[in-house]
Amino acid sequence: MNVTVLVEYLNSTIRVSVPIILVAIGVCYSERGGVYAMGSEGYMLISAFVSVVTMIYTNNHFISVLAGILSGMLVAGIFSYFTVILGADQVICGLGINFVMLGLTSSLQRLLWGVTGIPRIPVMNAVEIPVLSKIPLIGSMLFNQPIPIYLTYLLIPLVWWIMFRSTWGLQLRAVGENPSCADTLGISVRKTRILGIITGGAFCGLSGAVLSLSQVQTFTENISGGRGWFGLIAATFGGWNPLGATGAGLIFGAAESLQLRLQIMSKINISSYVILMIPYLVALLFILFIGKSRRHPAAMGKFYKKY
Amino acid sequence: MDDKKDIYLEMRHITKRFANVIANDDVSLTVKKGEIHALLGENGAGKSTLMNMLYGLVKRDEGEILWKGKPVSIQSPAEAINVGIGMIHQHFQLVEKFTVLENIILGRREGKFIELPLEEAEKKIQALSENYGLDIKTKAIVENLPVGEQQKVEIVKALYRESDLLIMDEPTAVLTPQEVRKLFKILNRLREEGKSIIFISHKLPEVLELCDSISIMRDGKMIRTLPNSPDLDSRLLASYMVGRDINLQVEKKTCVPGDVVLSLEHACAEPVFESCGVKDISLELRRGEILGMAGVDGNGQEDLSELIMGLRKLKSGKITILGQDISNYSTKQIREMPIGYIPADRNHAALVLDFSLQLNMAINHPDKKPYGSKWRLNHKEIARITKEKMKQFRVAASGSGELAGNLSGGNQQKVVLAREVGEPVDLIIAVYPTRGLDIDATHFVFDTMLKARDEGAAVLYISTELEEIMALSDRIGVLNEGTLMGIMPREEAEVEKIGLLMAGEQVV
Amino acid sequence: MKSDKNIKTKKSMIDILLDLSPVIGACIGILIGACFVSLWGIHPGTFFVELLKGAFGDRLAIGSTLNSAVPLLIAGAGTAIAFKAGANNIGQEGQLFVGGLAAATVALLIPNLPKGIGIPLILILSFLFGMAFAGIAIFFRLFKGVNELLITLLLNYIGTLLVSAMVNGPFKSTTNVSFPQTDTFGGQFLLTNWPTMGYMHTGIFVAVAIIIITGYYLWFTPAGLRLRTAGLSPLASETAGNNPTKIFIIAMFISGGLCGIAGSVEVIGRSDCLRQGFGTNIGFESLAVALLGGTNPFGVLPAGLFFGALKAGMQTMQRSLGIPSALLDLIKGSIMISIMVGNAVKVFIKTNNQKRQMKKSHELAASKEKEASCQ
Repeated sequence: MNVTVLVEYLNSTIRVSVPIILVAIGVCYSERGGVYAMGSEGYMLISAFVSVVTMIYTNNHFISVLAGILSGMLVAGIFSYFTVILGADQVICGLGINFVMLGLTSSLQRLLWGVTGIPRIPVMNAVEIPVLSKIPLIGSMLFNQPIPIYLTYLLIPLVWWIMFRSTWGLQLRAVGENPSCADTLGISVRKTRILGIITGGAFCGLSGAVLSLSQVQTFTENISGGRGWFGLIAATFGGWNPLGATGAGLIFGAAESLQLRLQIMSKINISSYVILMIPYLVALLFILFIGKSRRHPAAMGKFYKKY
Repeated sequence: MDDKKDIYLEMRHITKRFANVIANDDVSLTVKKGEIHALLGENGAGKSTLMNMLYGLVKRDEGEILWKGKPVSIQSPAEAINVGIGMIHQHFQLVEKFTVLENIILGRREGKFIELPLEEAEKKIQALSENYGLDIKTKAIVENLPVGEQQKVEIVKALYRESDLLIMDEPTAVLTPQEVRKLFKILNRLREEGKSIIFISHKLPEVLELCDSISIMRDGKMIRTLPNSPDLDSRLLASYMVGRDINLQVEKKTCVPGDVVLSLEHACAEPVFESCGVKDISLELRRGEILGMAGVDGNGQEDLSELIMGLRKLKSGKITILGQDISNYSTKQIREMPIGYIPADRNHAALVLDFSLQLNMAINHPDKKPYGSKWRLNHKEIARITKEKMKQFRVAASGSGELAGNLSGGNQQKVVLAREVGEPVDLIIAVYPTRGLDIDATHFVFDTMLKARDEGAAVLYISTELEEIMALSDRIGVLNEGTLMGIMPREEAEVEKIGLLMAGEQVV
Repeated sequence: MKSDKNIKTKKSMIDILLDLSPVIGACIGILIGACFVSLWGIHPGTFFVELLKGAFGDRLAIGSTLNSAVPLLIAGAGTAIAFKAGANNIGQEGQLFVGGLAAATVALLIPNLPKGIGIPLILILSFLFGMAFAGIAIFFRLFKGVNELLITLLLNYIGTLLVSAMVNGPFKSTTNVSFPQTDTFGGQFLLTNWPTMGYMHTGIFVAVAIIIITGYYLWFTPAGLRLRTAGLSPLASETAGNNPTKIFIIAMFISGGLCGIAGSVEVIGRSDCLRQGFGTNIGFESLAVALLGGTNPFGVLPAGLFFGALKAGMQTMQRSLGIPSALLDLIKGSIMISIMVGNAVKVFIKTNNQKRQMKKSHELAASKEKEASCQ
């Protein structure tokens, strides 16, 4: 492998990883609060759709990304009402959200644009950061990317700080570990959990917007294609720590991007479907080697009812 | 009175009704600055309810609360914390995976998205530590700390929030005697600093030693409040508490012990979670006798029963039931023997609350006659037997199809008894069988145990209620920290002696 | 039994409504679908008529409904067993695909088997394949402490891709190159079907038999009782002398195996060859069916038929009215959510009712006491 191929590979790894990492961070917020984030795929879908539609009508990237995030938050809010207030099963409701969003976005797309599909939208240009982008090998990989990717860089330390250094982060983690303890301290378990879920929805929304606006540049049916699930797994094996989740997300991104590369290189004589399996197998191996060391938040999946 | 401003807390005419009982009936309580105020009462006297209302965990139906002379609403723990009331529950409310420091600052109210003042908190905690003689390691993870240390964390947690009044719900129940001494030292120090403490307990000597005033509750009513003085003694307080003579009388025939049914030889089991395991216990239990096992909660009672039932692995030693060495038997194999087991956790271990009574009746041996065969469950027969036993054990329910979860605790326990001892058995292991039951149901349990004994069963009766043990047993053993402190015939058992053994002190 | 009914307190209207929550969930799902098609300018009434026509309009429609229901019924019963035991198997799709793969393996490697041996062999092997797939999740749960949800989910993708890899690789058809699939099995293993009934095949009898067997197993055998006990309360199960871990393993195996059979029946019932993506969506639909059926095999029967009808009806509508197939996802998701919300509300109202009733009885007692004291 020569250098340009390597640079290209690293470049695409970052691009592929960013949506996964963003979802993984979102999942961290929801699950640290003790609620399964099974609906992440659904939040991504609705946000991808909404942001593309907004883009077509406003032609403004900023507003479109914002609209995408808001749609993700809205759906997450509905999910949190069902699970945190009413106490419905978190896993099944999350799956349900995914299907509803899949059906909704695909049908609406057909309704609005028929069989021709949504038109392509203008490229979100890469912004080169002077000096830094000239660093050999990693320079262009890290510093010659569209703005949302830079935003992700900035967000990672911020979300880590919020989770481990702010009062709210401490409360969120307490609610996921021992809700009755939080309750006796006067922390509202419901409010904290709902806020955690909605924050998670915002990150999944951002992820969906990044995916559709800057990468696919249009909306296609089931555009998220399992990235929501990868985010979920990355969060689990990053120990529900935004930094760990980022690391796991990068590994999945590398596997996914390797898969894309291998498919293009026709020289290699492996069935493309076996190559497609790589990210999933990587995930399984990942779990196989570091599975047991991860303990999930003690109250995860349990409905907290105040008596 | 002139010292009106020294009064911290006044609760006036508090009433609380639960479902079908009045938990608190027109209760008033006054706590002065810098006093340790004991709240005495039996289980279910309404102490916890009163305190939960004071802390905002339970909403009161009637009455008002005055704090330093001003009425306060207190509808939630947040409000209680804001006025300066802290509560230390019997089961500590700590996040186990957090560090001590994180646990202490968790209850901060100000500023959600500002940085946690870790260093500042650290300093403040150190100051508190020195001031009150608490030695706190802020970096430690709570789940790695012993119980006594966790309790200190709870105390610091309340002090950190500048609480002036601490409610402590049975703080000594989980402590060793040494830890109790240390706790008392801390509490005295707090009193000197002008903090008030409500000390809930039913251990009379402790109360007499530590407290300034004593309020006694019985059946949801405040019986009286008196200042502590040298003239007070345990006997008097006890009579206020129970309002009758303490002697629980049970009619029973004389014991005629037969051959050995259960024997343990140097049995040991590893501790799990917070239990203390079983340490080198040897005992013999004969037909026709009840062996009462006393001890403070969490001293290996459940470990012992689960070990005998094969739910725990025997580390070393030997267990024999009816002459068979069952040391390596699974629970399934042990269940094949004529044994009745009444586990401590009625709601989760003994019954499946979402099952009907008849299914609950069948879950032990669904593949045995008359419940069914290997491939068939005989629902008709199960229903018939269930109804029969329900009549026999006086279970009040709409029918055999009623869900177990819809029954009252007493009726649930009767269902368990019907299943476990409804057929003649040779051995009964009963763990806290009267916990949470009303008087009628309690006596029903006693009668069932005695009847089984008279019919030739060997009964291991494990309870934390000394009164019950004294009334029922033919012999009495005492557990402390997973060790059997001694076994004595009922005639030789005196309350003082058992009390000392329960505290882990050898009696010669 | 009779006396039981007499004693039982009368059910209020709300109780009855809550007991019907799956039916209401299904209705909500369809209503949402109906509202949605109105966006296409189609009258909701037309939607219902077309749906019914597509599902039950003629023999062909009925046949297509039943054929769609077959894999849903089998996998739904399997899912019900897992859920009853408290095992979160959501890997139906993967298990179904490897089940189909098992059918192709038998058919292509030993093509000359007589029907009487071949079909049972396929069913057994697909059961084993499904079991093996579920076994991976069991392994991770027991030895790595990872929830089976995640693993079964991952295995869905792997199972699907495995089939794609095989039909594009070793099992690739030599005659048909337009679609990734295997050669036909030559009718050797095809289940009997009736062209006049829309090619309805005997798989429906297999499905009903499986429903009856699993239902009997769960409700009328000691083993079934043990399984349900472990699902509701692992502690009680252990106390009664059972091993909840063992029961978890058994339930996962049965569940995976049945999903495998669903896959092979779909293959030998409908297409007589293994096609890429043959079972897409069936997995999650069978999850919805299991939930709609109250995770009870006997409930799965109507639920599976309902979903089969929905699928058949939607297919027809897709052709006649141009409604996108994705609408089915929307309906499916809505049904899942409304059932779960319904369950939660049921629990909520039940506890509230109990509280209120107790309070009432207390007040009654208190007023009586007062009267007594007045006199």
